Amino acid sequence: MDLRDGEVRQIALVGGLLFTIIAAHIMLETARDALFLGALPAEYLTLVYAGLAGLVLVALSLNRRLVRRVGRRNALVGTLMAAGYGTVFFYLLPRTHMAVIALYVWSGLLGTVLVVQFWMLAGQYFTVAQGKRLFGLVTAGGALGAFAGAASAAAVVEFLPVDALLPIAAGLFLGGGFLLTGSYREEILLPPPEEDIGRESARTTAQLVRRSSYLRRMVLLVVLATAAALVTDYLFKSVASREIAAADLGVFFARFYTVLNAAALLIQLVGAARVVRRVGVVAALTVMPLLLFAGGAATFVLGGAFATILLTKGTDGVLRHSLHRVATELLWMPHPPDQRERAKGAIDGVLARVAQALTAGLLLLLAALGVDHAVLLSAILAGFALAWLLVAASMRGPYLSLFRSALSRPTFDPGEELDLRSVEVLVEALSSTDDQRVIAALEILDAKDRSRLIPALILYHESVDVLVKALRIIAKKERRDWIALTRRLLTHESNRVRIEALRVMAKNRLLSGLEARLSDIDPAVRAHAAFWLAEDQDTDHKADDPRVRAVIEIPPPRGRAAHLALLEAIREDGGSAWASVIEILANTDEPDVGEAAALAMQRAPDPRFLPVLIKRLGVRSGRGAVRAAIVAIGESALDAAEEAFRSSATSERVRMHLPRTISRFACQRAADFLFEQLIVEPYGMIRYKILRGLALLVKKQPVHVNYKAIFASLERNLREYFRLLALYGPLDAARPGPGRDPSESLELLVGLLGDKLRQALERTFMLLQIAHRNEDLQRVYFAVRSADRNLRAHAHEFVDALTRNPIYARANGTRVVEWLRIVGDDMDSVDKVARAGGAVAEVPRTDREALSLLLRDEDPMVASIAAFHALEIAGAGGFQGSAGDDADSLRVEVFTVARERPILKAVGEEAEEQFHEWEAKSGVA
Amino acid sequence: MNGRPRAVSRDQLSVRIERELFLRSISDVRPNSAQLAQMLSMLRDVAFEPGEEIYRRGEPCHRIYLITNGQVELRAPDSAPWQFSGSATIGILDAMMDQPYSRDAVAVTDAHALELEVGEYFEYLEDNYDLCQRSIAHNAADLFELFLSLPDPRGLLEQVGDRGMLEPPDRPFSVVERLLVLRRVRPLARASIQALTSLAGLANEVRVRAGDTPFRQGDMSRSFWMIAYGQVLLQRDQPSISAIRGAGEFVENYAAFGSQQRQFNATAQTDVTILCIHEEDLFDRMEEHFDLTRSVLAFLASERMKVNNVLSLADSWSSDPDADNDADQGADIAAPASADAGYGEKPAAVQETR
Repeated sequence: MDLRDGEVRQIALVGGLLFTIIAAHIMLETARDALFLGALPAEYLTLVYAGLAGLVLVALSLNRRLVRRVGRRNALVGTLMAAGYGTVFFYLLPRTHMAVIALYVWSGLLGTVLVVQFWMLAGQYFTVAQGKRLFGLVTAGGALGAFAGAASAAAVVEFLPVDALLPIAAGLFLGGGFLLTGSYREEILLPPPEEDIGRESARTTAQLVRRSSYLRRMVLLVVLATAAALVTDYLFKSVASREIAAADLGVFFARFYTVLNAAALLIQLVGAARVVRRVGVVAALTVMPLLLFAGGAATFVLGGAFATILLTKGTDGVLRHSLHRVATELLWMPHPPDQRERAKGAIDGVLARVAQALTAGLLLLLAALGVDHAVLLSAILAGFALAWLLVAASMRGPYLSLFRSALSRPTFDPGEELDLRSVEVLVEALSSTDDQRVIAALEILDAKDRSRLIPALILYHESVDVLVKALRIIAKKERRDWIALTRRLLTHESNRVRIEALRVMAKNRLLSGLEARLSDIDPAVRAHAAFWLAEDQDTDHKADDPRVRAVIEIPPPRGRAAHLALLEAIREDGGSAWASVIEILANTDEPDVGEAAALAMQRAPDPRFLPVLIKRLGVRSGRGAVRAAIVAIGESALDAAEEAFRSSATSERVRMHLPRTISRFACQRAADFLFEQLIVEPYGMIRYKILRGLALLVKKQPVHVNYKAIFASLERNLREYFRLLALYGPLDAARPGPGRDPSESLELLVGLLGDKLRQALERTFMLLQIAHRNEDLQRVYFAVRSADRNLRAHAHEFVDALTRNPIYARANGTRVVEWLRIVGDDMDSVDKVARAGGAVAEVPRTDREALSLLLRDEDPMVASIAAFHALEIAGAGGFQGSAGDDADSLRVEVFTVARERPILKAVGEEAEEQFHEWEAKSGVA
Repeated sequence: MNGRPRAVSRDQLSVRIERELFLRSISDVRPNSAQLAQMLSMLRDVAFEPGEEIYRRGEPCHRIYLITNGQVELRAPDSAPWQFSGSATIGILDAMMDQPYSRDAVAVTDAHALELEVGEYFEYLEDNYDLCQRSIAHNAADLFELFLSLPDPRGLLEQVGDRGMLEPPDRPFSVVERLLVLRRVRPLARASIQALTSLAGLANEVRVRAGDTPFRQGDMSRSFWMIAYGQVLLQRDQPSISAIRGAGEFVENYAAFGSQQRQFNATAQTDVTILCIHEEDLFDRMEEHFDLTRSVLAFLASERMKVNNVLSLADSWSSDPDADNDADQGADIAAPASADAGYGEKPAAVQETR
């Protein structure tokens, strides 16, 4: 049993309560079935079913008001008290036909209302993750109650008339009420109902169901399950009333329910929760309809055999309140509480009763026509069960979507068309005295493809920034109104404006006036003019153009501004014909010119630039443009990038940025290379970059994902996570409490292990993101680390549901799935490590043992810090509580490890000196 | 705060456009469209009535507010209140420093704001790291300009403590020793051990003898220098500043984040041991370990708070609408909140109440 701290009391209360409710209900049910079928023909059941449906609608509506007014707990207490007193009343009534019918209806009403009230209260106590673990135990309480109730009923009816069960049931109801009264849990009461809340509530629930495909499926599940249950019940009772003598019906039902509930209890204790955890909520939902379908089909084939009917009813009885109930309740858990509140009562109660009424109507019709024999009924049952099975099987997608929405962030649609009011706002903003606001309006109009709304008069603006931005946006060939105004800007006092003006004129092939700019006072303007005039000539090598050559040949330092401007122009608007110019200017001692040349290479992709570009990846500034330039070169660039990655001559600073560069090629070859390197790369930092590159690549491109590589990496990562967790626990526990000075070396070690744990978890989610490219696993990762218990539970359930994908089994990922569940579960580190089975080869029990393992850690820095800490402890006399020679044994251990690996170099010279002294003394040098 | 502020139902496109205009106009680091769209989806329009509390001093800092119009005041006991009109970002310094709100924020007039959850903001920065990096550089440069404009900035620059640094051995630091040093460097104090371990492996050591001048104003440098031991005298003209920097500090404080040019002349007052990290290495590690970025952001925020406190007391606090009186503006959101960026009409000047 997987019980955590604080949960025992909760389970005892909730499970005990369900025990009494179900025990009482089973006794009441035994009595009512025997009394009813002893007095009336089975066909009257159909009338009772139909009547019950209507009455339950009213009862559930009243229940909702009651719950809102007094709270769930108090409502349940009240109902239990009423159940007790009401049942006594029925015991005291004479056994007329009406009384027997009324008793049946009373029992049916109680069975519905009490169960709905109970599960709504239970849903308040547990999170989704707890629900999966604990609902099995809760329903075990119910199953035990059912068995106890049935067994007690069987014993009672051996000696007493069957109606003696009524006061016993009443006593149990009252006992449940007293049990609940003794507990207290603060509850936020829902606001009191308004006058037309019934209609409003129904309308709201209907809206909810219409909007949610998940809720629509829940409706179908409930309707089909109810219909199947009713047909099964009618089939069973109608055949039983024919096969068994009236006087023996009480004993028959008591014994049958005893056996049935014993089996249900066994299933509950041994199997239900395990099945749900193993196969998942959605798969667990399909078990019961599958078996009912089989039962119905077998009964049909065997011509209505009583044995198969008993087995089918037995299946229904065994699974309905165990496995099926657990799985169904869990389906409600991801809903926001207010939605659950509204929809559950309506669907579980109202709609179920409507389904019951309709099914009862069908059965009544069949009875009236005299065709309600077992063969037809079993065929109908098989039909309902099959439909139910298909709906259950379709729940996975919507189930995941619910968690997705609980974890996702809102989005903003930038592509929305402007309406008139928005246009007014933007046009008004163009007149703002705030230049930034004007520029913002220009950008938005341009982004919305509404630049024609920008008046050309903006080119009279006094701000240089506004002018430059406006020129860029409005100077398009579809318009002419900007031309004259731009021409005057060719002589603007700002060189930026002059440059932009001549640029837009040249782009629109309005070259008159540009020649004059060759004599501009500013070298940058001259360079731009030379660019555009050369660009206008259809030549392959712009370096041969005399105007361009004149710019190139300006010596430094005067030439610097001109060279930068020329390269800027090439970067903006150049093409492959400018490659020779770039190559010339790249051979410079001026670092900023070299940088500008590298950035311009994107416009003239050429393999001869690759060495410069790859080396340039080690510089942050302009890295995006350098990457774009590399990718623009094509396949030879991918060859070069892969070679550089593999080469030991490539600096780490460059190598670190190659994975994301390779990912930009966005092709299968790039993906395959990165997957391959993910497995073999020894350095954690580079593996991290590979992961980032892969995550970007798979998101943008539908490449084939190497799941084997992903799951192999996941397994490695998770194994590391558990290993670190095992080491972290004892060391963290060894930290001194408040008021005592922490040891710095211990703080370093524990801090480093904690950081590596977080990193291992982050990388796990990055790998999951690659495996599930259409999901937002980053949000799930944040949720897993959240302080909000419910959010963590949602994240855990989402990952659990997500990983029930056949790809995990096919690609040897089953162990990964199991470990992922443990990682996300809310339990302490010792439990997690224990449950991870063979993930950790050596689990240290003490900080001393953990330190020994860390001295041998693969990460040299971890080993060095461990050595540093060990020597510090040795210097202070060893571990507290240890034997006197612990200080020496610690030192010996450190030095023994140091003989194999240079862990002391990072610690310092003094440590190395101690080590050499020890070597000399012990003669092991 | 009396419950959550009144959310304004703002589904109309025109209002969303206003929001986008506002964000674009206050942003000097130019987020791209996708980044803007992401930021816009995180914002919630809220309104405050005159006298209404926006947040209370001591409350956990869960939200940041971009004030788009109206007048807001930040108050703390024994401290001059800060007043804002027009665009301002409040709560952001406390958010950067991961501390409860340090002042009460009250709406003086009807005020409208864009509310942003702190957790979502940091997720946004981590998602859009290039933007985060540019914001840091921009804010550091802005802050340094503001610092230079103070009448007597020396007090903000001088740090003579040693932050527990030990005298260095007569040999280079080992890697573990460098780690212990980096742990004490103020801007890196909140970084994880793993991030610092990574930096320790990359740091170079420079020893400067007393009296030597390791660099001069205007020199180009692509490294961050941290004082592991000793004291360095920083001096510059225009304005004239002279201050001593001690162990556990970046030599030039935050100036190095905003410029690759040295802003001061440095002279070793004692024998000094410096650890220097190339900017590429630091930025790469900041990208990989977001906690390191958070540590730098917290450092910049704390420096900004000091400047704000000086500004609020200085006689020369300007009410000129064109002055950059962004008293509580630390890092960018999508962008820095420039005091005079408008949301609608150009706002009144920032005013100080003495």
